[in-house]
Amino acid sequence: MSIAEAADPKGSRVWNPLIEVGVLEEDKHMTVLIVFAALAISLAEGIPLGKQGQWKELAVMSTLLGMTILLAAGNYLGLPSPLSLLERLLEPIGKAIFK
Amino acid sequence: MRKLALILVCISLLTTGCWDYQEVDRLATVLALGIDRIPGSKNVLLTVQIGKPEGKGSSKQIGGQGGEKSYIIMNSEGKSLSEAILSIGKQSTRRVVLSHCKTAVLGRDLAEMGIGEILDDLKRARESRRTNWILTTDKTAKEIIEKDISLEQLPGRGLDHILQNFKKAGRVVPMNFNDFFARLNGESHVSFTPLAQLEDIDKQVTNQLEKVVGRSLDTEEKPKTLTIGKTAVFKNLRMVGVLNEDDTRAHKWLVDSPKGSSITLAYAPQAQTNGDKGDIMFEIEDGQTTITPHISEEGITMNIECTTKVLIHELGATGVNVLDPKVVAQLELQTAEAMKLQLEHTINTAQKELKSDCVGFAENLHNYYPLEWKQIKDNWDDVFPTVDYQIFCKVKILSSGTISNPTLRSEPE
Amino acid sequence: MPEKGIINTKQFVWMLFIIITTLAAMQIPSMLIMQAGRDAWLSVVSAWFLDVMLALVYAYMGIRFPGENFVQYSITILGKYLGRMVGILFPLFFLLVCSLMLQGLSQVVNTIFLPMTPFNVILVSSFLVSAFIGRKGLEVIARMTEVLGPLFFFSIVTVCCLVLPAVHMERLKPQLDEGIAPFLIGTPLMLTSFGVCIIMAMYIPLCNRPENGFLAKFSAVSMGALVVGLVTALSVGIFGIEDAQYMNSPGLQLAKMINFSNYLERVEMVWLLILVGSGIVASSSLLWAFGQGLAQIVGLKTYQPLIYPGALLSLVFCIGSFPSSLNQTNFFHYTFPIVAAFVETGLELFLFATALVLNKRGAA
Repeated sequence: MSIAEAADPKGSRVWNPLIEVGVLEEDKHMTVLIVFAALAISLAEGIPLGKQGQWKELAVMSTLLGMTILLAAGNYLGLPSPLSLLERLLEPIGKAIFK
Repeated sequence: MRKLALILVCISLLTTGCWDYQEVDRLATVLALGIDRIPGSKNVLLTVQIGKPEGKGSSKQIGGQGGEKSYIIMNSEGKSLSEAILSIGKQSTRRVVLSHCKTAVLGRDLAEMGIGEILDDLKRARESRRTNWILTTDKTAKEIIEKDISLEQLPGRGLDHILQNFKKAGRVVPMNFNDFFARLNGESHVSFTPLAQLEDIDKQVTNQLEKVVGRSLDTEEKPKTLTIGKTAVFKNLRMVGVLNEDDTRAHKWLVDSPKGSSITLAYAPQAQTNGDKGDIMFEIEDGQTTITPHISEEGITMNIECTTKVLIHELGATGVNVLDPKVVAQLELQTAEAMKLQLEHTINTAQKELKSDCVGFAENLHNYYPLEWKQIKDNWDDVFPTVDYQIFCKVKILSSGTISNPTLRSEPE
Repeated sequence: MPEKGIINTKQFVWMLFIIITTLAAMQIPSMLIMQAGRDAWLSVVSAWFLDVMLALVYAYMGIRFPGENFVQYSITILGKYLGRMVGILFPLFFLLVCSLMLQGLSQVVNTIFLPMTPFNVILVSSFLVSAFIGRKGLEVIARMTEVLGPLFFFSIVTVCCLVLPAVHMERLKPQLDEGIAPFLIGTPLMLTSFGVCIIMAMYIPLCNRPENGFLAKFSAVSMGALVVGLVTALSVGIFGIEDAQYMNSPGLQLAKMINFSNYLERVEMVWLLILVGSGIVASSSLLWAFGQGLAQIVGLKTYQPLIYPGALLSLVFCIGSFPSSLNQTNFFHYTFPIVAAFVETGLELFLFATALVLNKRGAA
């Protein structure tokens, strides 16, 4: 993969200078997969919950999956993930303490 | 749900290896690696020895002579070591696998120009192991890699065997990647590797015999032989010089241990001091060298203490009665003296000729005097040649082999 | 309580041990060496001591609020809304650790063992297996660790014994070369990794003998500290600090160094076994803790439907935040200790102090 990338300097890597997060084509495929996985989980776990009438559980689960899809969409668009934000906030402190 | 999950788990467990399957007969297994560089050029010239599993060099044709060799040599060129390795792929029908390569040989020109660039690949590559051997040669690495080693079908394995033997007993310190890197990273940035050479031992012997006999010997001409008996010293990623065989031996006593080595003493009994000296060879059964630095107002002194237990391996001197404790004591003293002289010579070579601390003074100084070391550290290169040292050798003769005194002595005339 | 399972003290010990082992098998030793140099093993010892002190607080809180984990007692102490806001930080922290662990584990497997396999395949499989185990519940995880834990402990100790011939003691000397500052700074770095064992607060209410919480944590951390300390000290003794500090998995390199009499070599698969086994089990218990904690905050009857979504969320964190092993290492080194120190020590001590001041106690 590395050679192919080196040979293709334009590459599939899209850099957004504003947010400094690169998204690989491969990761974009992953996003699509994640959305499908989220749907599959909501069906597999959600249907039994709905049948048993555990609406609260269903709601929490759907919220989680919704967040996942939102975050995945963010990744797809190259938005920074929450961990990157956390990193930008705390890394200077860490760098000040540790070598 | 449960079944679906089970199927998914099974698939993920069973099929993840599919990308990485490797058929053994589709692999080209590299046994040894030779790295050269031409002065003035940036390119790395690579020579690899690849084993042929189905090679016709069966056990009948040891050494590959007279039949098809059981290995092939491939060469390539690249801007860096890894590029050169990749470009072997241009000629190889099989995937080149380096994980069984046990020896890397550095050519002289490369070593003298600096090995910094190739070290990173040796450390980083997935297939490289830190237990692999590293060798330097005084010629080109290509010659060493292409050289057949007698008794071995695969010369790459042969190199490995030689160095394995050195680990148990030998005069040279075998160097694996890990120790080589660690020494280069050490305080003095000095490391060393065994030096592989091609010597025409056969011709040397024949010539000497011919001189005496006065006619040409009726022997077949044999190719040169690969020998490993010297040490190449590296300083700051460059080869700075070579320790000769005697110095190499004493160098091993200093940086490793005297164990497995030997010492020869030219000895004559006191009674006939004018008589010819005979050689007594001692095998060093066990031993230990400790270097203790001492900093005083006069400067730095290294106290080198070398204690060895030896066996009499060969008694060539006349009139030696090893059953006499006095003689034994004298032998011990004289052997210690001989060891001391040899050690002094080696340290002298390191200090005056190579000007590089291949004897491990810097590490000891750092260990014993961490605070003082911080001041010396920056101009250690200037300090090292002036470091004073004292050597104390202690030799204990343990046994004399299967006999005590020599039974047949040449009569003094 | 959503989880119905009960574990015993032995399982408790091994579950905590497995989590520490995973971290030991990854970058922690090299990060420590980068920080503390030759004194890295001293950092492990002092972190072990501090962590045992911290465990006293957790164990005390476990007894003061019987049958409650920190998610629940933060609600008891701080009230319905503030308590929930504080309480949710714990499950989220577990999810973060799970991301870090599986990312690190997959990176090592990908770079060293399965270079041709796409990284995402390894990552997704790890998540899938972890979630599969996590959904089965605590008892399943506990029984797995009971088998795997001793096996891993034994293997690591064997690996360490077998590399002993390669050790050069002089590479470990001189100790305290740069004074005590490096190892003191290394201590919190190590402590935050040991600190992932705050998951013990999730186990205490489910243990058949909650009063053994401290003992379990003590044994687990002692064994873990032994393992991390051994790997750290041996890495320095063999590779020297200059090389060891940049290794992605020093433990793996140690296993690669084994060459016992020239016939026992290439045993790094043992390390892969330890890494993958402990990594997956540890992440599954972290996912379980996430599901359990979240279910308790919201007040659900069951936590199982939350495991797969949790794993998926964690996977998205991985893909979005750590495009490469370098990002993960950087995060692990500079950001994670701050987050972990805040959650593991800051939050818990805050809860502890508040409970004392407000004189709150558990219901039972």
